[in-house]
Amino acid sequence: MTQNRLMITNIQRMCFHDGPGIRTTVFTKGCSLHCPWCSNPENLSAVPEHYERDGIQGTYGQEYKTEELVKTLLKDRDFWGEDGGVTFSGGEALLQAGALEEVLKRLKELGVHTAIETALFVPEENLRGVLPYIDYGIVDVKVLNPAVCKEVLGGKLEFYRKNVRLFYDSGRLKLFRVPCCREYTFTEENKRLLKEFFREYPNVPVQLFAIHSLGEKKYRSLGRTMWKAGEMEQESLEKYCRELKECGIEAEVIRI
Amino acid sequence: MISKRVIPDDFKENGTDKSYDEVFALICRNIRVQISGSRFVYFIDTDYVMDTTKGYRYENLTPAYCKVLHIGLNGLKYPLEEVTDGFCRSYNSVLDHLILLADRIIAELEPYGTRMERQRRWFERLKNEPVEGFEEAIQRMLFVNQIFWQTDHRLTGLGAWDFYLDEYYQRELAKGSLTKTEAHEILKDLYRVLHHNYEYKSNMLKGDTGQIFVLGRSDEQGNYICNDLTYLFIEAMKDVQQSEPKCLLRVNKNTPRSLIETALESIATGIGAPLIANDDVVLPELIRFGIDAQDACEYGTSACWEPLIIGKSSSLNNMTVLNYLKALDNLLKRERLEDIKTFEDLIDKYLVYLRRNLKAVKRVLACHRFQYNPLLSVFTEDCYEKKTDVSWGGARYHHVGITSVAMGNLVDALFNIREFVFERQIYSLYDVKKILIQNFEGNESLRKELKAKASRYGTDEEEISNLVNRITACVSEEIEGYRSYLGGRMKTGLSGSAYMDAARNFGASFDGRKAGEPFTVHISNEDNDGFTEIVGFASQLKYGAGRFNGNVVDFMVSPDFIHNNQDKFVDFLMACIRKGFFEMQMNVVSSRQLLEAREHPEKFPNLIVRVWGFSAYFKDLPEEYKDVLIKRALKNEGLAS
Ligand code: SF4
Repeated sequence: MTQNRLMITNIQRMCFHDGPGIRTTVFTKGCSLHCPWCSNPENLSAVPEHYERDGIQGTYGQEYKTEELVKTLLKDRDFWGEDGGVTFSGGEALLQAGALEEVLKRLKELGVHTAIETALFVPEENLRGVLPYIDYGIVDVKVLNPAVCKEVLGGKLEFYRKNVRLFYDSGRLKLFRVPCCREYTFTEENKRLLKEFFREYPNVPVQLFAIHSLGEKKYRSLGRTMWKAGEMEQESLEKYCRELKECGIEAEVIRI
Repeated sequence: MISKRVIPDDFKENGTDKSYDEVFALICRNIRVQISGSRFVYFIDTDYVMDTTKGYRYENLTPAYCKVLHIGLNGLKYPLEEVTDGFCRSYNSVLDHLILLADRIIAELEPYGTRMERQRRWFERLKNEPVEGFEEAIQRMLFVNQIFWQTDHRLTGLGAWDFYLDEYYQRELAKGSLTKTEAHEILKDLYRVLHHNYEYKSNMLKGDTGQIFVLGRSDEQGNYICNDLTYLFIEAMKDVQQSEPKCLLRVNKNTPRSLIETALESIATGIGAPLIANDDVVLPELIRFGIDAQDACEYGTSACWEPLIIGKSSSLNNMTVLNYLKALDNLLKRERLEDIKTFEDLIDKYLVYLRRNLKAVKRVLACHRFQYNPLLSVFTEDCYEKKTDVSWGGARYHHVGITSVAMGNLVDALFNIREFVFERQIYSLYDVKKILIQNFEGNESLRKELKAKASRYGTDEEEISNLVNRITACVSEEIEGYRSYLGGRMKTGLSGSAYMDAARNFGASFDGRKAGEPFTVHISNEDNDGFTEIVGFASQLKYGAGRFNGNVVDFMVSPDFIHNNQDKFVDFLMACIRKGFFEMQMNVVSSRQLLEAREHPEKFPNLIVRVWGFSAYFKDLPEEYKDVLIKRALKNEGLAS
């Protein structure tokens, strides 16, 4: 059944990090995981949430009809240029695959470059539906030990792996992104697993970034506390990045 | 004004002021000639300054420096048989005394022997010969510039030196007597000498000197024209890292990417310059206003951003300030509020009061008469041919301009009133009036709620730009018929330097601003989700019918944002030009740095920030200006509470 509304928390204009060129990024609400370091707590639950920040109250989450959303996004069309466009991020945008497909289709009809940043822990059909309308896929790579993944993130790694393969085979997977934290994704075991994983997908570059605590205020606004991660040393990221490069994997460290 | 002017007793005789000619002669005869170690001779004797305090003084203008390049000072004079009246005599007297001053400089250079031989020759040649070389051309224009400061023309602009100098630069390059690297060094020295007397030159705040080079240009067909010097001027400014002089870069959609990159590299250092003006938007409006197309292509700006035709205009672009909130304040205090039943009624009434305020502005401006000014007449085109002083209409253009403040506060206040009074019906207009008179006392939670709402001014929702355009169209209509005593028309714009001064004694407003708090700055909005939105807004505004007197989009940008994304930022700027902003300036600062600099000024002696239309050292600013910058930076970085 086609749903014609998308639940989103923010439309971030003029993004430089979520794909090629200048982009407008749509943050969708609802996620299938619960990563401890998540910096977007407002995007976890799929329903609108009340918040209070510095004495001011409000709601995270607003439903957009697909046409209305497309119209809003197009305001920045003149800035996208040849390579820029729209990126869907979240939360997990693929949880709203029906409405997302409609929006993406419409954008493609209008000749807009489209991208998605996804954790890919979703049923395969969710991905299949939208795949033809995505030009540029950014896939998060997190914990690759199935048991730890299930326990810490709450996701089944086998689904993820199948989806990554499907995405890769479509030729639309363009970038891997790894949120690095000492406790989970940057352990010796996981670093080894990551390296093996990247080798399975030749020609997909990798971006590494240290997780940050910018989401703290948002946690507080929801009456929650943010998990405190240990300090990540930039140098250790750089070192691992060099290791990846030595294995022939195109990698870089970025700052978010 | 920052520094007090020292006016010697010599300018009076038996208690009465001497004539302009006498005072000008005394200045050229008596000022202390100062030779420094620089390659350029440039000085101002700040103890011997012309008295311009009586009547309406000329300031904020850019003289026609280029007049002295192709001919010596003697050649500019009226031949004897053409000296038919007092003006011609004053005109020649100015030039005679400039020659006398040149002779005094030559005499002072004498003891320096061969070390200052070149400079001596330049001043010799200044009397009767055209310029030959690059440095000589700079020296001549500096001589003109210094005499303008000496005679207390405040905010004296610099103009299109990349074009004035190009002929000499090319000639010397071809001859092999100059290299690009040497030219770069020379320009750095030029910036340094113009930075001398920084305090004397500052007007309202330290750094507010009006010294601005206007670089790059478009021709009538929309081609973009620039040269090596356009780049070199920006690079030299970046390298010397002083607060001023600064530059403005004119661009259009054909501007080469490499020039935008050069500009961005300079902006990214935090010096707040160049300011960027978009010819694709500015030029058509100047032409539609009645300015000759070729003249329009030579526009520069007064001190900050108000377009004027360099060397051909003799009037002021910031005669007074229009406070857009004032009409709303008048309305709430004077109108029978129960008669206002809808938001539409409110807007209609607002426009009635706005027109009344403009009538008052016109009445005040109609009384202005400018001071007799033969020096400016010598360096303003057409005065010679017309044998008419600038103050009697000698120049080609005499349009006057007013700046404005508080449009952002007004728009937010109006939409808040729509919501709280007409839609949610929580308050009546009387309640609003009372709340504002009481400065939100007892209504702090409402004030917080209003303040916490994202500002809608500067968003690209159609209803916002429609309202702004409707209000400014009303201003255009009202000022349309105005003519100054010289026949000049009136212009207006959405930028103004008085966002602090005009707000100081102004009551609270329904955007959550308490009495005395500053107004919003130019076209800005730190609540926006991205800079594209405010540029989108600026491109929806109408700048025609006289609404081109400065319309600056003003951003706060964190240094990391530019440094980590330099290429994409250039893409963004190029897209902005195509989209159609009018003018744009950037403050590249981080809140962390500003907060630290406020605590420990000694650690940041050279931290430069952009204030209204100029760059200044952060340490020199009054606390209230520092606060505004810090607040805006925090908001921009999403850190404001
Ligand atoms: S996948 Fe992203 S949004 Fe979802 S929990 Fe993890 S970090 Fe947060």
